[in-house]
Amino acid sequence: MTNERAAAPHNTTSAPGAAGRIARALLVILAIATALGSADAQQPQPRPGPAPGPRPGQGGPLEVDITQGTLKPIPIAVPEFLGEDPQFAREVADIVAADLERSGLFEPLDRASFIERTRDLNAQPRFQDWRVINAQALVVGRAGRAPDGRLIAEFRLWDVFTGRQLASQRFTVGQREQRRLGHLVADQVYQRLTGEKGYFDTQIVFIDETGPKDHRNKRLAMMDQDGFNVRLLSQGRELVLTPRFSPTAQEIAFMRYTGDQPRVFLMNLETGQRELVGDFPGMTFAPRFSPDGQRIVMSIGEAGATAIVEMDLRSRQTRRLTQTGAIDTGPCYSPDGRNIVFESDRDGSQQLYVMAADGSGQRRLSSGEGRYSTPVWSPRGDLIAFTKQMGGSFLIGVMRTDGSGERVLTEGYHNEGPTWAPNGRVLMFFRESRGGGGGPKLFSIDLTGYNERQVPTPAFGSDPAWSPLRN
Amino acid sequence: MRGGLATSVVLHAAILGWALITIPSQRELRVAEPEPIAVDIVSASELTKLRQGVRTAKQLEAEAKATKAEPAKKEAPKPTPAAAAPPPPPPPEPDPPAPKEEPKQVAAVPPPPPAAAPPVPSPEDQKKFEEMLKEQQRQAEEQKKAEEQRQAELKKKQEEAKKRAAELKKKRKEAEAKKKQFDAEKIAALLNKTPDKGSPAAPSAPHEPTKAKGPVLGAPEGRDRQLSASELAVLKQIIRSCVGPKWNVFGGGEEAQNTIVKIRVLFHPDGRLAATPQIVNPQNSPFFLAAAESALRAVQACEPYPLPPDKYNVWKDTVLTLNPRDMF
Repeated sequence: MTNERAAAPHNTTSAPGAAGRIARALLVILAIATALGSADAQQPQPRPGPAPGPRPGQGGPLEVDITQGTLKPIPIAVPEFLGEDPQFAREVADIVAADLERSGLFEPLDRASFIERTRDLNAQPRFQDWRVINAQALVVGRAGRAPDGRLIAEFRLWDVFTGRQLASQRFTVGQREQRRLGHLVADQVYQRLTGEKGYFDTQIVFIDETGPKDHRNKRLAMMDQDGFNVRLLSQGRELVLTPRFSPTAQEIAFMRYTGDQPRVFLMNLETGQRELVGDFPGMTFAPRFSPDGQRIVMSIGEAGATAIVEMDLRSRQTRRLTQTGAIDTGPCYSPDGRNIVFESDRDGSQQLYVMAADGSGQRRLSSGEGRYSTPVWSPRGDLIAFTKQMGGSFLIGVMRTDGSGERVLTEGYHNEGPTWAPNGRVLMFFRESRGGGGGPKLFSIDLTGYNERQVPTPAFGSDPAWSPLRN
Repeated sequence: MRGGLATSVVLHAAILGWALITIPSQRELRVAEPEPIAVDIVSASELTKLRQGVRTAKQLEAEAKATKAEPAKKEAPKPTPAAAAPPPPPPPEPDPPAPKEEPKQVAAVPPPPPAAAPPVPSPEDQKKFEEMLKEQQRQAEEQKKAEEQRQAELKKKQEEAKKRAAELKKKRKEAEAKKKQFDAEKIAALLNKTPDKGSPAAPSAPHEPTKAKGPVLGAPEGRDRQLSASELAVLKQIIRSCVGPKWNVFGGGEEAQNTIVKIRVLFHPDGRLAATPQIVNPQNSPFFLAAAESALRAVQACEPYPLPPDKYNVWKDTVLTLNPRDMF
């Protein structure tokens, strides 16, 4: 101890001094650290959740994000239409309800649940009665015959919650076009409530197939998009394939085998008159119209290769668009007429390609596995539908016009040949069922992949093509 | 050298022999067993009950004094872990999320005298408090039923949420005032396992109406302007849970996944719409119009909205942003 005490004064200036300085420095650092630490701890925890902004109740509105809605159809009420012929009026209302229901976007409510009976088209409905049965919209209408024999329908579309009238219109059609009245009303209601153009006042041209599987009788047929009013356009003595509608006139182009040679014909639907498009020294198949109705594009085969050829309908001048020596076929114009999508196997497998309408700028579009064929450009311009064969199954799919976003809509045995409704929202295709007694049937599907339905045909049917809107 | 070897062997043997004898005979080392710590899991509903107990604290006090004279009767075999409970838990957080029920005299409940309860409860006190809590609940229910009959106009949700807000405010006041009594009650509440009767659970508040129809409390401005994050979330969820399922989204429209509709809604204090909702970001496309109208229909179909009237200042002006991007 004495040693220590004796030693201590010796070290006052050196070791303890330095140690003291070090100790003081350390204490200062420690103090700062604890101060910072406690300061952090004392700060209020950051609030999780809503983005910073003016706090509600203190000068800014409450902000609520809703990111989940429902895909359920809109409940709509379509009571019987008024009219002197109640049967006729009721049928028109039934067509409206059936069209809306078939689109998959609406749910017409059961008439037995209706409380108010519509008696006057110009009167304000008792909206409370419709609200109670959960209708969001109400269609009231009248249908009847004009003195000159033509048929008239008018309707009003009401918004049940606000009591506003959303649409009202009146249509007149020819004496035998009764069903069109319902389709026209349905188109207006559909368009007003969904923002999409309607597609109910349209027709489908297709190949009606009858007879045993190995010896089918194929005839050209046409019907309304809901399967009614089927009429045959050819007798079946010759083989007909791939009918296509003209966008501007009541005309269809199709292929017919005359003897051994397939040829492209134009047929006027109103007169029934046929016209040979051309006599080409080779196979011709899959003709399509340009959006202005002035040109036809098709594929011509010679010496093992197939090229895409465009022809002006008035001048009958042809122009060759591809010359790769591969098989280029299935061409389809874009709705603005500036581009053409087609299938080609120039890269070794069947893929989709796109080029300008003059044949320049040919580039590949599809990138997946499998074999792509029958491309069709949506009338809305934003999607291309196609058939894809992968493994043993056939898919109908859509992709964006740059080739991205490929999506399968339906898969099955031998799905093929998609065609777009004029609003670019619904597709029709045909699907073959297996077995000896099986055959192709027409199906429709929404571009979201929902609501696949079979379209009724009198017998088997294939190769559908959708007409533009008739009005 | 041989002597050295012999000595070495003998010494080695001696050590080994000593080791063999002494080591096994040593005492075993024993580790002291740790004191068992009693742990109680407190659920939110027990906190709820706790606050119910606090509500009529005055009466609790009176009854405690009255029944102090009969400790023998109240003595009951209670689970000892509670008796050996650790020091009383910390005071409650200022903004508890669970809703509370309140009688009319919410504003009139004074802070009870602090000296009433002992810091560490004895078994008989626990039993007393437990019974008192039960009694309180019964009384509370009777009161509630009486008030239900008296009041019939106002919406159920409003009262419940109003009570919740006033209860919160009262909680803050009382938390400081009566810490000690709080502890005792908490332990009593923990012992009380009778289920809550008639108090609606907090998470289901937006979906079920309360059974209570008490009187309306508070002015339209509301006293309470501070909202915690969870209360804000509850408000938004009330709106979202009604409008969302009614909002028909059209999946196939052009650019449907990018169609965002913003609607500004003004409310009356009772949850009805004060005016036709306005589209904040109108656009010209028919798809947008269809989406906007569908959203408007959903907003209108949901009125009256079950939003808490005492927070009216917060939600009277609301902007809904309907964005279907998550659906694609």
